[in-house]
Amino acid sequence: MINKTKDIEIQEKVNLHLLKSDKFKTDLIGIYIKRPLKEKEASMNALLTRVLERGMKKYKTAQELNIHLDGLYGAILVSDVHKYGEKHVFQFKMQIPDKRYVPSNNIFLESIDTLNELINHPLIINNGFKDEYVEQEKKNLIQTIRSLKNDKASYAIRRCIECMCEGEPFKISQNGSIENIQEINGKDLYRYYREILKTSPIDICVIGNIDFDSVESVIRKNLKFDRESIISLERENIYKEIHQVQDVEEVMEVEQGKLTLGFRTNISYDSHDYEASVLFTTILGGGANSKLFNEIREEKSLSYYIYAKLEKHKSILLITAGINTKDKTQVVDLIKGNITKIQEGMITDEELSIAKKSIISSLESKSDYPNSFINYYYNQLLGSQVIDIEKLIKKYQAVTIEDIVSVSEVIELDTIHFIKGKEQVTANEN
Amino acid sequence: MRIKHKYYKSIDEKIIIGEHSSGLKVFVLPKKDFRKKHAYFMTKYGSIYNEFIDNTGKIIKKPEGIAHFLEHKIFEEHEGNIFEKFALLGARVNAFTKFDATAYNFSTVDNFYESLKLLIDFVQSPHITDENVEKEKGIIEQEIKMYLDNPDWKVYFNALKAMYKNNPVREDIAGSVESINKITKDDLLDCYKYFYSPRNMIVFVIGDVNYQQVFDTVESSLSKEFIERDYEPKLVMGDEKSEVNQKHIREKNDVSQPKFIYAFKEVKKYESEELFKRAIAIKIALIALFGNSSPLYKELYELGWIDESFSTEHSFNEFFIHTIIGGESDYPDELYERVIQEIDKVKEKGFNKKDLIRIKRKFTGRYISSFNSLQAIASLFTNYYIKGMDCFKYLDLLEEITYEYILEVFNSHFNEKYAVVSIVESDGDEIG
Repeated sequence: MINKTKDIEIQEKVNLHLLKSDKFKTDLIGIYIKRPLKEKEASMNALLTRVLERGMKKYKTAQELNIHLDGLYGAILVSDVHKYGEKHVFQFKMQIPDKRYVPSNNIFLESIDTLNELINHPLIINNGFKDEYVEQEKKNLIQTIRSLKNDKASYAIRRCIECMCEGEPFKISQNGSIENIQEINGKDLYRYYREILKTSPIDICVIGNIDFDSVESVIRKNLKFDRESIISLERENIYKEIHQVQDVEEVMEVEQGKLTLGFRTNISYDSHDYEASVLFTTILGGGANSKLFNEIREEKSLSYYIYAKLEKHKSILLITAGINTKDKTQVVDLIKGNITKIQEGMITDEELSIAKKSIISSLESKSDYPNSFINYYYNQLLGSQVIDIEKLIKKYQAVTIEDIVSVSEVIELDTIHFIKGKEQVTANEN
Repeated sequence: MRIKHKYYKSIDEKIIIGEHSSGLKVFVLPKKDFRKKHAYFMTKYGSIYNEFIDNTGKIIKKPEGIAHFLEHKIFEEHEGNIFEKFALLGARVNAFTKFDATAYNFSTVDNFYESLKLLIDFVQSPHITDENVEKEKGIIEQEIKMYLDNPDWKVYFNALKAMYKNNPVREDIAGSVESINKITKDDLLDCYKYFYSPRNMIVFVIGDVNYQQVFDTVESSLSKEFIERDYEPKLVMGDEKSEVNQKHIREKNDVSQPKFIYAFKEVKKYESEELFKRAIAIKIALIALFGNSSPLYKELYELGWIDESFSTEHSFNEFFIHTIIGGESDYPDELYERVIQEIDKVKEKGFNKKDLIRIKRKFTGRYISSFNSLQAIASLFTNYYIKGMDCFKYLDLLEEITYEYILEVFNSHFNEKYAVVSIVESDGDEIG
């Protein structure tokens, strides 16, 4: 339960969102800095979050910073970047135990001070970030990008998006590209960083057993940003004309084939049909009660995992499964067949009711998890308004089978992506 | 039910324990204002129980992967689909198999007591047939193959296989494609009868619930057949020598950078409370030596030998105890030498006392913070309970631990003689 909330603009386009709840043992602060998702910027953004953690004026090495965090009762500090559709968002988060449980009165002030050091007072040498740190983090970031292929299941999804969104910003990965990272140097990076700090919209969310007035005054005093004219960000384009479905196959060293289908839903998150498109996704491939799970796993034993997920801001639906290579055509046909069934109105009242309950239950329990809750809150802010959970639940409740059938009529298959093994896969003898 | 209350002031949490005449224990941890409620029905039966002794002293051996296979089959019903029954109540049901336990759990906002009844009912009445056992083999085979494509899983299980020669922890939890194909309906029913018995199981509930209603719901859901089952089988452990099975294990896999695990095998056995305290001491030592605030971490990170994946873990229970140091590195062999060197240095010169005080403070904060998440509390409590330990003793034990104790435990646990190196790397020197 979130007892109350308060939103205040403390500087130009620096919005503070206070969320009070006394059931947690921690306080959590999240600072979100919003940028457009662009090829070169993405690499710099991702590198920045790493370089910033390496050194500040006050804590010149990561070791000094970590010693400081240990001393704050194991405070957790995380800085990274996330893709929200075609926006690229810096997230700086700090979690501390609430003052009720540890003998420290100023732990909240100290955490704001730490965030301020991290964001506003990086270690600067000759007008640039320390070269050594930049070079080491470039290497680590490149390694992170290379390591994406270690996890074949998520790599398969990533590759499907890349093939599907050729020429669109959504193709850009959250860590950018190796080529762009290699070109970055400490001076340019710092110049760029100062620019984005001044010109990007910033949101600060604080959740915990907090006193609004004192938190507001601590933040106003200790976390100030230089502001200039603030950029505005464009809404994603979600439509694309599909002349022919792309069928891409890649060969890798895998025991199990990884199949991913990418669809355009053609339904924007702010349209009336959005909730129906979420329910469509859930009925089709949302967990153990979905059509795909029941037919492809339970009835036909063709896979262990198969599920569908929706990229909210880009209106892309992805279906992914781990299967034997020889079963590809059969599984693709079964997936298409299930969509046809929905188009023909074959959805039972139970299926609809189960899907609604599952979504509503997850909305209702958002407030049980501080981190999910502030991310959810921020995600709502990106959609330009915060719809309170009760209203959102009513919208889901109002969706009918006909609404879902109309969704199934407008979604379009764009890309079929498949990763298959190098050698002839041995027959599955059951 | 016989009822006991316990309150823990430092973290402001309480737990209510109900003990049924059959021996089944029910634990309720009330969490006011949380919307979700979670329940676990759990048996002390996991992948390591392939060989066990029944009440008459008879030794029984089953194919590897049987506990996990049984977990899948418990979901079979005489009528209808269990996932759908939970979903219609708004609840989400799941299950997992570990080395030493199998758990069935659900979470829900609404209809909690109906869902709890459903959980207790379905675990008590599986519908296992020759036909549905055969059908499951295809699904589990895909699950096993999914893990085979995961290099983290490989480097980990290779380390266990290198460390242990006879301990069943060396076998994959799901078994192998070969072993699961040997499993029959009768094998499953046999294991079900032995391990799904009141004395061998617990119920754990957490959320904004009424404990009396939880106890009443559980009590009224227990079948006569279940209550009368009084098996409490004992695991048969292979004869495991101190010596490791093989010092080095390397495997080729399509990875962007070599993955490594250095594992240290404990050769002595300890009683549960001592084991718990030692584990905390070892974890403190690991953070002091290899944590991100240690001098070694700084040195190796700046050298480019490690990245943020570098981490440590200590596993402990009555069947096996070991420490794992793992991550990704282009220099896994040189790094191993450096790690051993650092261990020897501490053995000679001791720790920095200030570091230990700071790490104890960190552990205090992290422990308290973990009581934010209902799932985290559930896994903390049940993990320790299965090991025969009480997780609420953590802060007291942490307080008790002295510098001398850490040094003593450290010196005896970390022995290069009982260490193994597991590496997964790609073929040749291609840059991927």
